[in-house]
Amino acid sequence: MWRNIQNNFDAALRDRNLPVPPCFIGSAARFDTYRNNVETSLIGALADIYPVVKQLVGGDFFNGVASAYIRKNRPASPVLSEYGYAFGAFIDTFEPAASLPYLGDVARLERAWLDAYHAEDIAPLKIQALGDLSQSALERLTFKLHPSAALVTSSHPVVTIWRRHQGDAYPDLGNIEWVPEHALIVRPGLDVHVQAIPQAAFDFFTRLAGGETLSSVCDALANDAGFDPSAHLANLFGCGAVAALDPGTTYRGN
Amino acid sequence: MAMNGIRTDRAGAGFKPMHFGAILETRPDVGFFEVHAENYMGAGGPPHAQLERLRADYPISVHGVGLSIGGAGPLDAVHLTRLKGVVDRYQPALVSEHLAWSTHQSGYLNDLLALPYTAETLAIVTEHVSQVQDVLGRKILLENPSTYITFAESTFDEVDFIREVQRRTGCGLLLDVNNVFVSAVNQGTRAADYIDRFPLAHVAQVHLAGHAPAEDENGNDYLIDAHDRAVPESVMSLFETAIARTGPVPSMIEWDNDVPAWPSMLAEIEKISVALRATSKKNELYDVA
Repeated sequence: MWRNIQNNFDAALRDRNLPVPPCFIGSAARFDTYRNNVETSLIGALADIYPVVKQLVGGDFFNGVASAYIRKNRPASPVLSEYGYAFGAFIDTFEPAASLPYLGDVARLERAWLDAYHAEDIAPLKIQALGDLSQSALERLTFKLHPSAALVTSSHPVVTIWRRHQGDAYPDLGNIEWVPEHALIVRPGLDVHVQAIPQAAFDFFTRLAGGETLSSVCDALANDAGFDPSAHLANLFGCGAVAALDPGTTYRGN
Repeated sequence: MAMNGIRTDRAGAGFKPMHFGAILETRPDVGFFEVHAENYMGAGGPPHAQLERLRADYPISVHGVGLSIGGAGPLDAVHLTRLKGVVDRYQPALVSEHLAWSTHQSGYLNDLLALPYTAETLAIVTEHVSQVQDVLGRKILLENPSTYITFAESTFDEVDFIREVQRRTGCGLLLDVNNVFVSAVNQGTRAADYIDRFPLAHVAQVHLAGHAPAEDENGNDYLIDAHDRAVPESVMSLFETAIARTGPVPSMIEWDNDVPAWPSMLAEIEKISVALRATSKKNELYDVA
């Protein structure tokens, strides 16, 4: 049965300690060619998704963490641009990377960047769309963010670290102000934009993205430091992160 | 001189995004560009914008690398639907996939893995190729693999197996002459014999590439299908043997690793084009129609 042979083949690809199954004619080194192809091509796929993580840790370390990840997380689909969603969380718990506590956040930013890169192309909504709404519609308003829009939170200056590695493989990180940064990622046209946003804006956008009405979000965050809904909304529309508005004709409730 | 909408006096190449700027700027005389289907399965973004631009000037062929046609399990219906999305969107001149498997229970392996050639796998591959053609609503080309090992279970030789899949499904064939060469060296057979016996009448496309030498633990040389260099003389010579029999068909270089700058890629395209035109001239001597 081909299925049984394939099971053995697959198991031997996963575990280099297993001998070459007896059904094969050919040397162990030749069988290892398949093992190497699988491993190096999947490491390569992760390196394509996470170039800044790789720059931060260097090629050898990256190969190690990627190889450990691959053993536990095979791609679910042949579309490799959609691989590695759990890589950030894997890095968080990967003991040898513990001295770089921001590494998992950089990975999450890079994963969101690639999702934005491949997201559906639609024209963002302009802020003028708000002007057409009545006061009661504004209160019940919910937002549909752009398909490319994503938010990444961090206790580290993740956006600054990421940005310094664009175009420079070994940037100086010595003079970074070590403060928490949150990222808003969006691709309104062909270029992906990444910006650091304050905590209050991050909380605001996260709640809007979750489908809460504008008035309930404003009520919830009213006393937060730095909360400025007009400025946050101007930024959200200005960077192209809003796809559509629902003026609350259908009650969403909670 | 055209076949499936592709000129056969100019070779093509696997499209690499790093070459996009040079291609736009220099508008090279290239027969066609081939893209991997899986790179265009996202919803939108720069890959689609590039491909839309590219296909305004050049014929496109779509080469699938992820369907796992040789796997024992059913085809991934979601992936097949996504392939149909790419094919419907770009209406490529040619669509091809591999006689290999790449997905199993543990997930996608991202390599084109060998299968045994038996009555059982013949039935599986036949069913899968037919299913792909039914869903896409068009003929696909099936590519011969490069292999590093063979199976004790095999009861068909590879050419007989491919001939039978073609006969049962009506699919076309993509002859990869580098794969023929690599497998022949690795199995200790003659590449020219493979070409001699191959059902060349159904070949609608040819791939050429480079391979890497390796040595196994017994001190024996073998080859790895690396796509990381220019087409060597051995593969060019096999190509000339093949097209002397088929006549000129859409032919292209695959250079996927250590990809060179555009001028080196173009030099390879030129090399293959020269061989295509030489064959075409020879054929004209016999072709009174």
